[in-house]
Amino acid sequence: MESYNNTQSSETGERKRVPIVEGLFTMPSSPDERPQLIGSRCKACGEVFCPKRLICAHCYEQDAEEVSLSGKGRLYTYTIIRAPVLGYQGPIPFVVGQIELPEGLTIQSILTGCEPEGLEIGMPMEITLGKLEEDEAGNEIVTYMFKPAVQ
Amino acid sequence: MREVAVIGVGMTRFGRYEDKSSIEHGVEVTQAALKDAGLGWKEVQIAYCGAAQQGMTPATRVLAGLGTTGIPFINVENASASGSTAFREAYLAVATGLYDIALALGVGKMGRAFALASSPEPAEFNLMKTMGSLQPASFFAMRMRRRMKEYGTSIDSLARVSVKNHRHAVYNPYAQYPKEVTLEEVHRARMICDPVTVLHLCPTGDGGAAAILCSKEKAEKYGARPLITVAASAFRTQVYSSKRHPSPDVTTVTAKEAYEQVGCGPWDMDLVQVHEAATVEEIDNYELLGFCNPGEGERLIDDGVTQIGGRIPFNTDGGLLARGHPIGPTGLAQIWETVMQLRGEAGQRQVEGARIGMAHMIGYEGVCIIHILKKRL
Repeated sequence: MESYNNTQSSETGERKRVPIVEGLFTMPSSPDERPQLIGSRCKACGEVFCPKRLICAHCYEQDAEEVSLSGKGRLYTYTIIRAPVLGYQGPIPFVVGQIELPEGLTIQSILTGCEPEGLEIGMPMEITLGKLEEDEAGNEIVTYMFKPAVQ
Repeated sequence: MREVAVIGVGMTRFGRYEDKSSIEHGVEVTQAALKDAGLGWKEVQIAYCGAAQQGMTPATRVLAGLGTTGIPFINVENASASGSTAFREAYLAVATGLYDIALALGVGKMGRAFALASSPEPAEFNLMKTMGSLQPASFFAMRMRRRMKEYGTSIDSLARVSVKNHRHAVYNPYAQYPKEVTLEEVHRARMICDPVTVLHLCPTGDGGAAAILCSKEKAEKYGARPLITVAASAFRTQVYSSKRHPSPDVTTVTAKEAYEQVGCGPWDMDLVQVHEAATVEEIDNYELLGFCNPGEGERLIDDGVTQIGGRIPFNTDGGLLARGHPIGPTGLAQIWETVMQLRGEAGQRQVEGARIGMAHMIGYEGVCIIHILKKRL
């Protein structure tokens, strides 16, 4: 069974799951749990951003609260990246897409859990956690990804 | 503000140069532009150099080689719009009356691979990696797929932009790829990011381009050639836009400002150079610049309207796709082409009777610069 222990000491030899960036998504504590995108909502105009930002890009007010995003949305567009990418060590080809979220923003994400042929603009998508690469110690560097939603 | 003329231009052929630095390209094009203007280096009063990722102070490294005359050197970095920004700043330096003669220069040397690593900060880099946004071609691929779905634009229409611009480049001695390609070759070229093949994308490369700007009053004294003046210089950045709070695209806003400065509309142009790092961008820009309604852009390419000989030729020098795009000098290569066309010196790619031309440049991310040049009769 897959380990979801994110803080396990390396003494046990168990590999850790390390989020690639802090403050962008929550780390699930069990396989049943999904990660959640962490965003911000401007208290003045209600605009939602992810990654979170202190100053609102729409009304310029500096009064934001942290919010969790629903993690469900629709596929706006996508592509299959087949050429090598500088600074990226993951598998190639890989699929990248943009997801329209009900909170009113579009977020870009690596797509997983489906052959590219199965993707279609407008289809429902949901968030999941996925491995991006491994570090020298063999720890999994993980990030949020999107996959076709289970109907 | 007083009127400003472009009295000299120069460029090197864009391409891959193993043994030539961006600094050497810079010296060559500055000397070419000075010769074209009939001026000596000593007469230039201020110089702007557009470059991205070329190390510190490229302006000094290029221009000190010509002679340390003590004038101000300004380094400009605005990604793909670096050269256009240098041109605009040189224009403002003369238009405001502070200087009579200014140099706008652009240089670039790129590796074969190019990543959008805009910051040396690991956190920022990791964020881009997380979002899968390090490969520039992927943005254009996603835009292309979306456009095909939204407007039903065919892959043939998109590929025709590459066919057209490569055909234009055949007659440009400074183009990186002066070679015709067929529709079939565009479709069958190496797939980079579906549905974008390598022939839907601009290449990386090296090169330089320069322009000499001068007050119109002073330029009239040189006299012999048709006088080319800057009729509009517009520069905007993208305003935040979302589903709840949509804003117009920066190209539309900048174009409106440029047309207002001239007192004209899009169809008054005789030729247009646009930023088309990928084929889809040129079709999008037909619409964003006001040549047609959203979703109608493919008609202009399908009907040959935007090829040389058509009603409004776009990217007469081959564009980013075939003339090349070494970042720093690209905007100034557009100025070079527009000046050549307005002078009637564009050879086999000459647009007959060209009197007014537009150059449009986009810089990562959300920078738009438009210049309109006009031949004075």
